[in-house]
Amino acid sequence: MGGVVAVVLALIIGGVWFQISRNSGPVETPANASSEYGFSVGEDDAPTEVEIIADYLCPACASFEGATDEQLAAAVEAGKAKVTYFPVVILDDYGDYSARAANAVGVVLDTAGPEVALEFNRNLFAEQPAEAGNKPDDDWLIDLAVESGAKEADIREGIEDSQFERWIKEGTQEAQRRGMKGTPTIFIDGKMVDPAAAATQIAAL
Amino acid sequence: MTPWIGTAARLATGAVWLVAGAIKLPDPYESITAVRAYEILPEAVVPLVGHALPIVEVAVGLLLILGLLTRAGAMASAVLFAIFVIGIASVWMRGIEIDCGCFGGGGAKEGAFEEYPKEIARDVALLLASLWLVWRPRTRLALDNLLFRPLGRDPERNDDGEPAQEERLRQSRAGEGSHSSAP
Repeated sequence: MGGVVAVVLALIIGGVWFQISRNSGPVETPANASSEYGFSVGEDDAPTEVEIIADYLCPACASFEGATDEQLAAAVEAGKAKVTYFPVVILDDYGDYSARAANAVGVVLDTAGPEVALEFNRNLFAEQPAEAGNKPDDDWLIDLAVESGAKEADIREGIEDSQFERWIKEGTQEAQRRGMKGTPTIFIDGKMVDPAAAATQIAAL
Repeated sequence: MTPWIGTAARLATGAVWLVAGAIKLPDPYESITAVRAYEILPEAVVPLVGHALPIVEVAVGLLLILGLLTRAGAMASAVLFAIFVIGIASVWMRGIEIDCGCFGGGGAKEGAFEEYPKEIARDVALLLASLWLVWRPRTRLALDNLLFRPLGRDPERNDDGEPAQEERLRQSRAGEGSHSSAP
């Protein structure tokens, strides 16, 4: 009896150890990432900091982006705001599009910098597919990234191989630790603000 | 009859654990998200519990299906179901709408309140099946019967307390014989 118990316990502990080791080790972070899990535009010493945590498949994220993008761009241009974007994956019940799109943003950030990543971010929301049904493939993401200013030769491999998958997943975990319940989650100067209220505050920048 | 009730309880409960655990194994991040969403455990232990729970679920499922260490497996199963019932009741009372993460998934979910009563009813039923096995761990078609046969017992005999069919036949025949030979 004791031997059987010992074997069972050893298998359980070994299994847990294996699961933990799969998720440990250094996470590959894209070059040009500003904070650990995001990318920024604007001056570091701008008076207001806006952080936007979004899933590329989330309709509320697309409408928030549509409502605030121009104002944010103007505020960044005028030196009034620094904006940090965090791509996360919460809509994985609808397939892997969210993860592929977020990874693609990481690849574009890595190879072409935050300005191009932001343009890609804009285009992903403008061309957002429906939550249910067929989703665009990697070639579509690559075309859209190229349209946004990335070079196909630099990004194809990273997009097809999900190069920054763990970076995105760790970023999603970090967003949850900060209190994210759904997307978009907006922080203004470090305080979580409901999206509607955030849009009002951004309009007043 | 009783040992067969136990066999049914073991297979049903074990299958639920095995499926629930196996679905979660490929994506530990999802399991961590599900644990975090209950807002019960401190963040320091959330990743460990999220990593460990699917493995423990698979282990309990295998023990029950195989009928190996049945009482210990059933006790672990009962404790886990009790924790899940309390967890779901707790988020329900606090007005938090989440995917219970029972079979993968997890995190915030609209309309989850409708699911809570069904999930609790299911887990209570499985909790009762587990408690039955804690009370009556000897069941048919169990590895325990092969491995932990009490010393000196006839290997032909099932170890659930009932004699094997052949043995019963032998006993009854022997009984008849002794009656007829008595003058």
